[in-house]
Amino acid sequence: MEIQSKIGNGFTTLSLKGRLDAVSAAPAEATINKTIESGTSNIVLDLAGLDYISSAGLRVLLVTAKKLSRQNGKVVLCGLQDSVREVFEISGFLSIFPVAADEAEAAKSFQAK
Amino acid sequence: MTINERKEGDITILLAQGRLDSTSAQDTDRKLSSIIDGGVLHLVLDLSGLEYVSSAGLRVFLSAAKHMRKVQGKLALTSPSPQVKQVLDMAGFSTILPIFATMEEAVRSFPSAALRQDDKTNAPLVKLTLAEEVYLLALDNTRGVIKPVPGYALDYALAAAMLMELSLCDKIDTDLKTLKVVSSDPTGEPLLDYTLLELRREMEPKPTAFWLGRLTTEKNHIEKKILAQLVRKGILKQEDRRILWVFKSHRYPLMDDREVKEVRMRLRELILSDEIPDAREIVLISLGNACRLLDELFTTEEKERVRSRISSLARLDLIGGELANSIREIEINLSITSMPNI
Repeated sequence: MEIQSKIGNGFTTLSLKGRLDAVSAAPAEATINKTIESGTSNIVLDLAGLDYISSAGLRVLLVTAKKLSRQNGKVVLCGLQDSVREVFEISGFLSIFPVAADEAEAAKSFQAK
Repeated sequence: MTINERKEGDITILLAQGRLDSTSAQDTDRKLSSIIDGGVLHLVLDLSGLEYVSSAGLRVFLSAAKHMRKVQGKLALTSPSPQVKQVLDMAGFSTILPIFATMEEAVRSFPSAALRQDDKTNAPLVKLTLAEEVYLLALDNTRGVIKPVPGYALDYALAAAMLMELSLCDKIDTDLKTLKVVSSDPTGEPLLDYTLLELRREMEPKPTAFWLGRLTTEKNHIEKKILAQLVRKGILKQEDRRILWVFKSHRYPLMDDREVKEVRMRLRELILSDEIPDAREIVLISLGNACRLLDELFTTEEKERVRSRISSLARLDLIGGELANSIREIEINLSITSMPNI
């Protein structure tokens, strides 16, 4: 699992690459936490490079969403691959996370406020 | 409506007299709130002088209970008249608020100062597994039996609870297709470790639904095993086929009846709000929903409103989703086999 971070205008984009499962969950959570602690309340998770997500991976996203909602921020997902989208649909995670087609559209959802 | 305050050691006792209805609710709410903010950690509401309580009045109790929880204090309601008790029962408040028949029981429900000291220093922490929590939630405290939950639903929920716990502590991981063991380090809980061993014995990863079925076969006696574990931990005892809580004098269980009620109230609030739940709350909702144990937390009109929220929260856990599917399948099969032949 590789995570790249890019600071945008009023939000930070984290691009996840590889597999988010029990093995990579803890380090991924630590990286995301670091981003939140640096003062970002709005995060775009670019999942275009994410090939696989398991239960443990979903929990990382849940913790992130909960944390940010407490600071009146939010997470917007974009670039979901079909297999990952299927997991989100079946688990109902799509009801918690706003999803955008790509980063540009995700960025707009923060400006609309 | 009058409220008289007196102290007994570190316990504050409030005697409520008169009628608690929409006229007096707001004042009473404010009064209780200021008393709690004054630093009360053990609060008894003596309802013996309460002649009448309306739904506005009930909300006052609920907000006092929430407030006490926020300051990490404990609340006990005591001595309601039969009429008031009936209102509390009908509104479902008896399942979420600690209500005692007598003042003595209410006072005894607070750990004494000496015991608390003891607890801090050397009493062992009783940790409960999710499956044990589900069992306690399914226990009808007043009658000492398991509530009328369909047997298959409780078994499936207990099995799912074990898998969820193994997943929450990163021993296994699941996706839409399979369940995989990712770590075989023991958890220290005999039943969980035994299950983990079972899971490892299978060479090829199998679907979660397969394991739910395997763990709930009749010869596995999952319900009995969980009960035995709770007895071993000193939380429950069996007497004349009744299942009772143990309240030992030298140490009180971490999760007593009061704590079960607190869990119920927390779930109630979460479901009524649009808050994002945490992973443990999600699994408790999945499990409670599978056993139909959540209905009793809501009034009839609320039930309609929360139904879809409950089922979408319950799915947020993949094992929870599989649990709901498995139970639905069993119910469909049951309804087919019980259909009259034409």
